[in-house]
Amino acid sequence: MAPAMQEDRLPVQQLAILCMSLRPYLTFPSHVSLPFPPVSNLSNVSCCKFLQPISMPAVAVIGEGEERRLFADKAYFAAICRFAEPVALTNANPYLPEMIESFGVKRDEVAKWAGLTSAIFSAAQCLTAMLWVRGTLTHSQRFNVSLTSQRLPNVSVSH
Amino acid sequence: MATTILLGFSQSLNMALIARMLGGAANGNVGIIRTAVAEMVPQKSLQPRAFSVMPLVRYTIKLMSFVAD
Repeated sequence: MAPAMQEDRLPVQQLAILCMSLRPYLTFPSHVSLPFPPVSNLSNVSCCKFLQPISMPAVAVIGEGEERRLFADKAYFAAICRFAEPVALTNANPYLPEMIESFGVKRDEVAKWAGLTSAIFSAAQCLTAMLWVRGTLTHSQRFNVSLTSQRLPNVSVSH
Repeated sequence: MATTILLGFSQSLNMALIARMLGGAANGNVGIIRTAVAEMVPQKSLQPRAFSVMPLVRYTIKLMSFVAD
């Protein structure tokens, strides 16, 4: 008898028991095995010939130990690098109109100058992004900090 | 960070504009960080997770800024 159908439980308890009974069928935790064979076992079936190139593992399994730790380091490195830009962009928004008003600008023109001050950030970012990319292309071969466990293929940049 | 502090200490409109412009010019990481992540994670099976970190951080910070507003 299904435990979710018992009458003496609250609906919340029934829902929780139903979710717990569905738990072996969830594929996100990679330690739970799939209830059906993986797609790669179907490679000998002739009718699935055209489906073979799109067969891929259902769950991207992260390696154990050293590889997992290196991946976490890289991911947090990217996260820290990405952290700074939204902070710098949205930092001034709450106090910018009052700040412009405190500079002695007339009240009619506070909105215009606040908008321009907000927009000049993105304008300067747009104009200098290509310069930054060019600088990294020329200097990344010189300061080659290898964060990966395996060697990357050498890509030569021609100028 | 230095340009943000400069913006906070600015005494005139021109100085605020210049500080904000310098802050924008210093933030050129956005175009590079995607390529950097792609080069740092050569394993194909790990790249979806690696690329999902950046929007996660970005919109978390944006959410924090909206709450602060």
